[in-house]
Amino acid sequence: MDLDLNAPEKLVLQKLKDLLAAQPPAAPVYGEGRLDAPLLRGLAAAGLLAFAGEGPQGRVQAMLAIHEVSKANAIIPVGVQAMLGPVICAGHPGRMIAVKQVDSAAPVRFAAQAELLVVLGAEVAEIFELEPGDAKPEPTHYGYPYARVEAALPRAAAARFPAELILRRWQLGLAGEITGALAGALGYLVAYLSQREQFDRKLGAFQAIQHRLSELAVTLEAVRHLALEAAWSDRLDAAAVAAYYAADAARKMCLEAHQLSGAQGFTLEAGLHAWTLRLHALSLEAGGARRHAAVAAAQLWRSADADVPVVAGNNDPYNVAFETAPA
Amino acid sequence: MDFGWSETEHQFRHDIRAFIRSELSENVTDLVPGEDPYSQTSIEFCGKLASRGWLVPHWPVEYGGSGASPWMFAILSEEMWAAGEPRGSQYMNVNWIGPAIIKAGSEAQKREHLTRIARGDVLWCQGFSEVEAGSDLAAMKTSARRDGDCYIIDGEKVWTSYASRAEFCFLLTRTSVSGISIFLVPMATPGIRVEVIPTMLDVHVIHRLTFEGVRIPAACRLGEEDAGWSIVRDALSDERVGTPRFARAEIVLDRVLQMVCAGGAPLDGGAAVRAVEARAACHAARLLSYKVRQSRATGQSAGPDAYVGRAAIVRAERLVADLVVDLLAEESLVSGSIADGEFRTSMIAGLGGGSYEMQLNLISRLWLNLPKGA
Repeated sequence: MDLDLNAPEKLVLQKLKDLLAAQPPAAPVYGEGRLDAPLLRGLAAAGLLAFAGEGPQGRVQAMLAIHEVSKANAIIPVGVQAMLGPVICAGHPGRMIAVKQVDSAAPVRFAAQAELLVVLGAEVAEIFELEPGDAKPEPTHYGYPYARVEAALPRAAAARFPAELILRRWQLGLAGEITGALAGALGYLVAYLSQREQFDRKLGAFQAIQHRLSELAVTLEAVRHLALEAAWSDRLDAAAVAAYYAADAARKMCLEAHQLSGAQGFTLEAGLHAWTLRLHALSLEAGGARRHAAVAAAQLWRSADADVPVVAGNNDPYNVAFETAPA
Repeated sequence: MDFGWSETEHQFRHDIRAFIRSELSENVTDLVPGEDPYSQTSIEFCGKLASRGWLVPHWPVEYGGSGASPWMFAILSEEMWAAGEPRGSQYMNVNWIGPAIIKAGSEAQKREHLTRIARGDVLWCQGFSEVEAGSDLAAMKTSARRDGDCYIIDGEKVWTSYASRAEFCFLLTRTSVSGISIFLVPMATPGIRVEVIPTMLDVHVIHRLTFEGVRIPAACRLGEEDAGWSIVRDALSDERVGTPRFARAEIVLDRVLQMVCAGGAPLDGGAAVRAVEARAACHAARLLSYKVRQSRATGQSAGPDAYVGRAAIVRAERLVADLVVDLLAEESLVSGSIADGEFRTSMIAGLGGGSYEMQLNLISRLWLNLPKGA
């Protein structure tokens, strides 16, 4: 157990800092954000999207990268690219991927820009090459481009992967993107409320405000560490728990951030929307918090020998499970 | 970062679980942590732990420990709390009273106290809160006045656990207008009166300690005069996450789910979501507590990580309590039932070791660097 950043992790963060300084994400816009394709190419070329193929330490590095890119408000599918890219197209980290559930007709993030579509079923995830016209853009105000994709594409799948692998990596990516956006939103709030004066005092000096910000800080740290550990373990139960907690936190942060920042926070010049609307969108992806919770519950509470409190294939020693699986 | 345990640590956890199963009856592991009626059980159990070198494994060898890593102690604490904390009040001894003596004690104090704590044959209590100095500990009025080679202590401490059985009190007193000093006070000293304060906590008994002209040798002072704050601040950071309530809450959650789902009854979707939320909160509290352990492991001050960890622990315990009470409904009203115990435990969680609101104050000041209030 070592929760301090090691030298390779610090190096990853420094490389990201340098790259984001040299190639800053586009200023946030209201509406369907535009893919920051140059930044995506830059991240791929620098090898910053390939870590998740390199074992537990690599996945932690991938998670750190996702946090930083999302916190910087970059409009790219960094979670999917960093967590799923090394699985699906290891030799081509720049190929853009979109993911949808087979039983959902809902708009898909980045579907119109992606080259590959992952269709996640109950047992198998199928990978399709996308062609022009496959995705029909849908207007939204939530910071990302969305598009609908036909339920059945008129071509054979290019590859197949176990659904569990794809689901947990998707959830890891989401938990990471949400962590970054939570950090961005909280950073905005702390900065704003530390300088905004009302009643002859900084708003951030009021205990009522301080406690709410502190609660958000605790939530952020909780989500961050759940996400990092889930990346390290690469287990479905951990990924689902992290995704659930992150999605729930995202929804709460969206409302709380705008409540605490008052009317100013709704203005586009303030820029808070760049995090909060993305948080709202991310909280709904992959079925949202309830779906993540259902996956987690099915994994956490399943058959196990009470004398051997380690679920088969599960290296978590304190994960005591029980006989009856909740429906 | 590395979230894994070594083989040695895995084996240690396994061995402790086996030991608990062989040494403790189920009724102990089902009850509220640290309750007084089990002090004799606790003393005997701690003696057995000590004989295996498991009571203070993280202490230096010269003080009775094994020099094991703080991670071993984290594992030990988790398993103890998951088993209802059979060490009783001795979790305080091993978690922060002993370490405070190791850091600030004289050689004589170390000889007198550490050996006994490491053997598990001594009970302590802590004299911190006063009627007008709860969260605002700095407002304490209990005084210690120097008189030759002694100090004369006058004042009153309240809400003190284990005082009726304790041999020593880790006592905070005012020794000057702005100075606090710590004394390791033998409870048998004339002038100390212990009274039970009736509460709604049932088996967990708290006390009022009255000090009237209590004369104790100056050699009982821990550290320098007026230097108690820095010692106690460090000790409290251990106390804040030294009680891994999340471990017990997690077990309670799993047991109640087992009860509710017995016979194949499915858990409804809403309850399943809440169960995952509670489990996630427990695990997040565990990880954030590990952050504090990490600081200990690397010889650094935990800083505001301790407050974040503590707040996460309180949240987790409350979420579990809220859910299990809902799931068991009126059954949770039965005295001594698992949900009754969890409900009451969760009520204390936000107060013991510093109130939840104090943790939020400290996070806002030291973590977020928000402006100071008026």
